[in-house]
Amino acid sequence: MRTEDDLREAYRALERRAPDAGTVLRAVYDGPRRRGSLLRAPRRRSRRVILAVVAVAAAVTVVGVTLAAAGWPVGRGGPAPAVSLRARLLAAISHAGGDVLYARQSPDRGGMWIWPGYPRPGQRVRVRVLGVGSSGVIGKDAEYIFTMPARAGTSARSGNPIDWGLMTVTGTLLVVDHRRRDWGEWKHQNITVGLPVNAAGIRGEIAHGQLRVIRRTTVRGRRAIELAITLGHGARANPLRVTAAELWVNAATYLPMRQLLRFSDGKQALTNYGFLMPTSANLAKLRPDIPAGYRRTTLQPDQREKS
Amino acid sequence: MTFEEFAVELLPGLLRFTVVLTGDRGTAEDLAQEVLVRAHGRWDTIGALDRPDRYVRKMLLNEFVSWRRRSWRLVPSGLGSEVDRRAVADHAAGYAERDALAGELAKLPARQRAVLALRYYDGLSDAEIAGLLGCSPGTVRGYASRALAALRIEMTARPPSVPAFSEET
Repeated sequence: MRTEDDLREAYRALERRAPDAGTVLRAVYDGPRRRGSLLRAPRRRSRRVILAVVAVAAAVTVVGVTLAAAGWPVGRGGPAPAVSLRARLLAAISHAGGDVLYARQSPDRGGMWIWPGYPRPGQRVRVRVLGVGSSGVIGKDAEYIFTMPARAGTSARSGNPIDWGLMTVTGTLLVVDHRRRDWGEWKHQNITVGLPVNAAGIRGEIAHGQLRVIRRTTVRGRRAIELAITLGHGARANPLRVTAAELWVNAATYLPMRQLLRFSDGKQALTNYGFLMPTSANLAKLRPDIPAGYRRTTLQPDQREKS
Repeated sequence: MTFEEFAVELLPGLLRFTVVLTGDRGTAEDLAQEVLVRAHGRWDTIGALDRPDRYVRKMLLNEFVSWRRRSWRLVPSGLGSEVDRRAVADHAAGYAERDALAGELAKLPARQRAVLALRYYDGLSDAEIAGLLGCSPGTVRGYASRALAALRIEMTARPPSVPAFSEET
């Protein structure tokens, strides 16, 4: 039986892991996109604009990906967003490139971290995909590392230039399988991944108008702006299509709070996302944890799936 | 108190509290950033309070509870209670036990974790904790009792009334 002193001892050990004050303050003073002296006059307005741009663009991007994943193109016929919003979205693409893009679905079905958030051809990309079962327990946890190809994607699949589509790349794959209680790492593997990161495509979509403001509302007790994503007609022969896409951003910070996709089969997908500063702590989130006691498997990934 | 004074004098203590609350550095950093960005935007009001650190601490608590309520549980099977706890009389066993306890703390509901941190890290009374969390002292005792039972911790007859650790101010 443990004692209360054991608990105090555990807390004493935990407090030594406190985050660095400088790192935390940098976000307060400068926002994720700036670097510089910590204790200087705040630049709240600049920070807010930058964060807003980054957040909304991120959201648009993820929406685009999700739509593409469903096999349906994002339309171009909707009303164009206000000039200021378009400007912010476009500026975001430039500012958000180096951050960790974080997307997670609700109900709890896992999430994805991508770094850099907007990789350019030739850049090294790290992606972590976390699969969470209906019980809330992690099933698979995987990291992909590869070099962004110059030409990638199967845009013909979705017709959507926002995302790269599904692309096959060669790289390193690390998988922690919590059901099997094992893990493995394989190099020079062919990996199929989907990334929400074609900056040039995003610019094109914004230019053609894809977002419109619906209303100001409240989400989880906070003021928010509800946006609608204009959808295209898509291939009506497809039994599963997106019928509506909405996005809520925080009215004060412009950070995205919620994105909802409704599908033709009556189901819907809710995703939360954001951008994280590329701090060592946040970059560590790209690496799956390998619990002690897990054995390392030598089976190739495709053999593991069959076994 | 200016925000800069707060950052220099009181923030380190708050960050230690944050990591005790969350259990890991990355989450603590995210939580602290989110709260401080908001606090900074209202510093004219918060800085005029007698104890702005207490106010920010309450913001941290509220944010933590709401975070935990809406977040998924990232608890891989194989962590925490399944950690090998065979008794070995050396320092490594002590570290392993603390890690195991930290892992089990991470599995507790947010309010139970908050109550334990406030009681055993901050040394607050149940009445003070109740004031912070907006519930009754009886509810606080209930949270603590369930959390301690889950952690298999034997409670002494009298809850601590003296802070276990002095806050750096």
